[in-house]
Order: sequence, then C-alpha cells, then structure tokens
Amino acid sequence: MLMSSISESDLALRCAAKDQKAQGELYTRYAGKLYAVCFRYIGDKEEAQDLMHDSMIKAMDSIKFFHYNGEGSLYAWLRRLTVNVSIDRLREKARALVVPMDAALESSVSEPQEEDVDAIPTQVMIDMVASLPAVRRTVFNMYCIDGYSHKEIAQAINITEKGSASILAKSRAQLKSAINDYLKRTGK
Amino acid sequence: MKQWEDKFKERLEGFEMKLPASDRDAFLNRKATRERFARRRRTYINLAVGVPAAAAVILVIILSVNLITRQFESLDQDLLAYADKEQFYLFQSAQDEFLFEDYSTEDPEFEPVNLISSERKPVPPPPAAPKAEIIDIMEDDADIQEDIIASTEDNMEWVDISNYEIIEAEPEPEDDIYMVVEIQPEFPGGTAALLEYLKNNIKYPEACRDNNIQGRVIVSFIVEKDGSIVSPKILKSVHPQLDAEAIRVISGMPNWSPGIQRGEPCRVKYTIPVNFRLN
Repeated sequence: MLMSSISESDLALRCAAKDQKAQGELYTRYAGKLYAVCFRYIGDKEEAQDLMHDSMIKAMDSIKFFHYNGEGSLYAWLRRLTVNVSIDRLREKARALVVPMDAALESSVSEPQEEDVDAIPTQVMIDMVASLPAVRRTVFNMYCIDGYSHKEIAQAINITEKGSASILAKSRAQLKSAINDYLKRTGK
Repeated sequence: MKQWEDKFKERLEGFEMKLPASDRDAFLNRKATRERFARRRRTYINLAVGVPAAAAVILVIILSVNLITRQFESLDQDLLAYADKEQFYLFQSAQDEFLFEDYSTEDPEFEPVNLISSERKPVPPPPAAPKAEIIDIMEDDADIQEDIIASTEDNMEWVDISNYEIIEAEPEPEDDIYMVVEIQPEFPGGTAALLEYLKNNIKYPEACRDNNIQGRVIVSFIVEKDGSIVSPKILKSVHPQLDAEAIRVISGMPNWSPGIQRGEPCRVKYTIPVNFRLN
C-alpha cells in the first residue's frame, strides 16, 4: 500500500503505532506547513526549522491522543500543537516578552485595498508578519491567523486581555505601514 | 476584522514554506537521536529510582538490626549494672567475712566476679573510712611578725592636670544621616496620607501595563532638616520604567516633617516600598 494515498485518519493511527513509514509520510505532508507556522511565530528561518522538528517529534509522541474529526482535523491539531511549542520557545527566550518602546507609530496609515493585498506574494506576507517584534508577532498570529481569543492569548503569554488588544492594534498599524511601504516600492 | 486581515488569514493559514532538501534527513536523524536519548533517559530514571530505593531498604534493615542489638546491649548493660551493684554490696560486705563466705558458698553461680567480663573495670572499692588523726597539740611559741600595712594616703602622688590637654567630647557632625531617630520623619498627614498620595500620583507606564510587569520597587531617600526629599535611590528594581516612575513620584512629594534627634531636626534616611499592581 502506498503511503501517499493513505487517508488522514489511517495515517494518524499508523503513526500512533510508531510505524516508521507513516511517520515519514506525516513529515512529507505537513513539514512545510508547520515550518511556515513556526516561521510566523519565531521570525527566523533556522530557528523555525529547529522548532518545526521539535513540534514534529512531539506530535509523533502524542499522536495517540489525537481524535480524527473530519478532513483537515489532523492539520488543525498539528497546528495547535506547533503554536503551543512556539509560544513555549518564545517564552523561554524572553522571560517577559517585551514590547518595543516605539510609541510613534503612524496610526493614520490608510487601510490597504483588497486588490492591493491580493497582489502581494504570500512569501512577502509571511516575511512581513515574521519581521514584527516578538510580542506583536505573537498576538497578531494568534488572534488574526490562528483564531485564538484575547482571553486565550492573555493566558498564553501572561499579559492582560486589554494589553493583548492594545498590542494587536499596534501590530495592525505596523503591518499596514509595512504593506504601504511594499506597495510603494513595487510602484503601485 | 478588517478585509486585508482576512486576506492574511486566508493565505497564511495553510501556507507551505519550502524546506531545504536536506531537512528531511536532518529531521529523521534528530528524531532517532531523540529516541535513543529517551530510551537512555528511561534507563537512567529507572536507575535513579531503583538505586536509592534499594539503598533505603538496606538502610532500614541496617538500622533495625542496629536498634535490636542496641536494645539487647542496653539489656546487657542493665544486667551488668545489676551485677555491679551486687558486687558492690559484696565488697561492702566483704569486711564482714561471714557474709561473703555465705554468698560464695551457698550460691557460687551468683558470684558477681565471675559474671563480669574481664574488660569491665570492677567498681573501685569504697574509700576507706578516714582514720582518726592524732592531733599533736603544739605550743603557740612561733614568733609571727605581722606586716605593717603601709598607709597609702601619705605617699599619694598628685597629678598636675594643668599639663594635660583637656579634650572635650566632640559634638557629632551635623551632616550625619540617621537611620532611626527619636522622632521619625513623617509624611504630612501620616502613613495613610502617604499611601493615598502614592495611589493618586502614580501613573502606570503604558509599556509595563502592556507587558503585565508588576512588582514592588523599594526606594530610599533622605529627609532633610527642612523636610525636603533628596537623593532618592532604587534599592530594589523591577523594571527601568517602573523604577523611573517610583523615583518621579517620590521626588514630587510635599515636604515631610523632619526627623528629630535631641530636640533638633536632622537628616534621616527613609525607605518606602512602592507597589505597582495591575488588576
């Protein structure tokens, strides 16, 4: 039986049984995606690679706790686990994630147009997110992309809910100006 | 949520980044190493739990054996002490030959001397009753010359104090900073007013609020003779911004009533904690 055609639930079961081939297939299918998740959170390619390995190994250890729940649920589970591992790493790196003190953010940047955003290559997008300062990056990723609530964010990185909201506003402003810069550079 | 953010979510959620080709091998390698380590760790944990457990069991056995023998020993000692006493009585009664004979003949096994091992010192015999000394009555014919105790009053030397400089006790320099004085300096209105003042004047630095940085900054300062506050210093720092805020609030306090020592105002060092708490 060819591993690449195996279904998600079977793959998870085989991985839980420590099947080497299934573990290889899990890597083939999800390594790139989880790598992108790690990169969004940690902001550095090499470290993201290392973090992805950690998450993968952890996933393979604890995949027995995974319950199949429809198409895509394996990726959702893996992504959640990876986010948790990434946040643990971020917390380790800085005991308190420190907000940079650049108070002078231009808040008057106009909202980017939808078609302009469509024109941005995804790799550029992810680089923009990755180059935010650590706390803003974490909050933006968790809230806007991975769909966590402010409450969950506050618990995860030990800030207040209000703090999380205000950080999110700042990261939005910073991203907007990054988008505008990019659009200017590409001549639009 | 704004539209451009939706775009970000849509595009980044399942985005796949290209990994270097060598990554797969690196990963498998790392996984294998990790598993090897995990196995080794498991053995170490087994050892780490097993060895002390075994040691503890052995220790308990040794202790209990020790305890039992100790008990037997003390029993032995009791017996020996008993024997000693018996012997002592015998010693005492040894003067009375008849009694001694009586014991040794009638009940030879009870003879204490045989019971006691040779290592043990026999109890020393009781000191013999002091002999009545024969007191010679001597005649009191010794010629005792009494020392005449010289009077000290006559040859007392007079010290001429005019030759000596008179050193007066130095007054304490006025600039000394005291830690504790008779009447401690006080914030106008007392401690409660001080707390109220701090509460009303502290502006929580925004960056610290965002990062949920809390804590107690301890600030020391000097209350001058006129009650003004000088040289505030951080004794325990929490975060540069919180420290700065604490210093700002402390330096902005109204004049205190100065500390008083020997009826005069003096400089006093004072320390107060400034709490930064978020709800």
